[in-house]
Amino acid sequence: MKKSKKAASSAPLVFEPDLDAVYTLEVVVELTGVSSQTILHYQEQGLISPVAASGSGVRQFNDEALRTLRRLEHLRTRYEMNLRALKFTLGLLDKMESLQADLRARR
Amino acid sequence: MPVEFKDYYATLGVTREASEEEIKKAFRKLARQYHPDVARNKKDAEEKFKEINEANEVLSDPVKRKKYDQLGANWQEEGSFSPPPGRRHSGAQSPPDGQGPEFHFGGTGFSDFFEQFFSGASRHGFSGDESGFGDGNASGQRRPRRGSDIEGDILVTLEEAMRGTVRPISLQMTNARTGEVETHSFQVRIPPGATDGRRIRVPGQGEPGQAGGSAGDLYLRVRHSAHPEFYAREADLYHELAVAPWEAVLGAEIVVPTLDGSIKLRIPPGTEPGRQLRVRGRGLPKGKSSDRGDFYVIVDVHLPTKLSTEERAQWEKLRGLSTFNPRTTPPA
Repeated sequence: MKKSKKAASSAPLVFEPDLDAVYTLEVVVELTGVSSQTILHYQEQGLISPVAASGSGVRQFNDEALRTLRRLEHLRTRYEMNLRALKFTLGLLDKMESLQADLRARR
Repeated sequence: MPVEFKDYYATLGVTREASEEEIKKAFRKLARQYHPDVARNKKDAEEKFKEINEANEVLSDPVKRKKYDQLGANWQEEGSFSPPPGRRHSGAQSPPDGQGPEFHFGGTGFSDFFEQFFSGASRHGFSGDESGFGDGNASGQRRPRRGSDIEGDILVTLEEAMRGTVRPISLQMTNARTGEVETHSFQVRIPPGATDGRRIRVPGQGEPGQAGGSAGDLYLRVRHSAHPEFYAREADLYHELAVAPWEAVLGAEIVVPTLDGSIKLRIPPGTEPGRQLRVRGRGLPKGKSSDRGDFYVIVDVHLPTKLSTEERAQWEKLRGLSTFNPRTTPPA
């Protein structure tokens, strides 16, 4: 939905994010616009992983998985990456982030 | 969007040549002085505290510091800055070939200057008409397209991470099609237990979608501001406790501050410097559960440097009496 200037000036929106939120595959499809086939393919390839299955055994994803999914789609469509390039790039990005975090923790 | 240059070296009161250690020291000293918990003028101290944290965020990171030094050399006197060629974004670290709407954060606890050049702000997704995947066909039909996700950093104090808080955020974006600048203002609850590096997803507050596509999301990455007494690793809190040699040797009971009230801590006899004493469940909250991280006290033995004649005599007496030799005695 497009937000107009009008909407922005009305009463402020308050977001109450839930850090522990998890979503079923169907909801992830809806939230990201990525097909369930693609999501399952990424999962098979180890690019994204669901959170540990709950008692019901239903596959569920958290916000980090959503973010990774969006990043993958960005790399795939914008840079026309194939699966190998995606794995390589995602690995590099993760490594970079963890090194940055290490560096920061040392300060 | 012209921004004012910030002299981070002046903020910390160090020279441009200052070593990492000097910067660390200067920062800690000022953070102690201006922490809103201890300062008398709370309002002024809060502003100053933010400035100190921002300066430290840049100068204590070798990569950011280098960039800052280069930036300073190119800054024009009038305070306006011509970005190096190829840079089109106000959102720092956008993909080099990324085009489309500019964006700009407010309410994150960082200055406009920081936001423009040093924040972790970035964009993932499609934007404009140039994303180039299957859309360049001759039909001219516009497919619905979801807006990009936008990421940015938000400065959160440990107190806020402990109790949670609500932060007003504004996100300014230039609409790629109309060229108009739109400001979206909203509030985001930072839940208790927001650890450093944690991303908070704000649905639908990223870049607007196109041709009926939905908007992207906004991810706010939590950055803890430095606290004069504590630092956090995940949900665990750490506090360095200065003790006298006799307290370490003989043991002691010491009142130690935590983020929620003081505790009485027993230092066992023979406590070595650097030893970590754990207090269960007095760290940051862990999500919605009632679980909390632990509180660690790191023992730091301080030595007296100015001795009275009497004190010196006592140490000398101890030297004559003691059989302790740190170079031959195996560790207990």
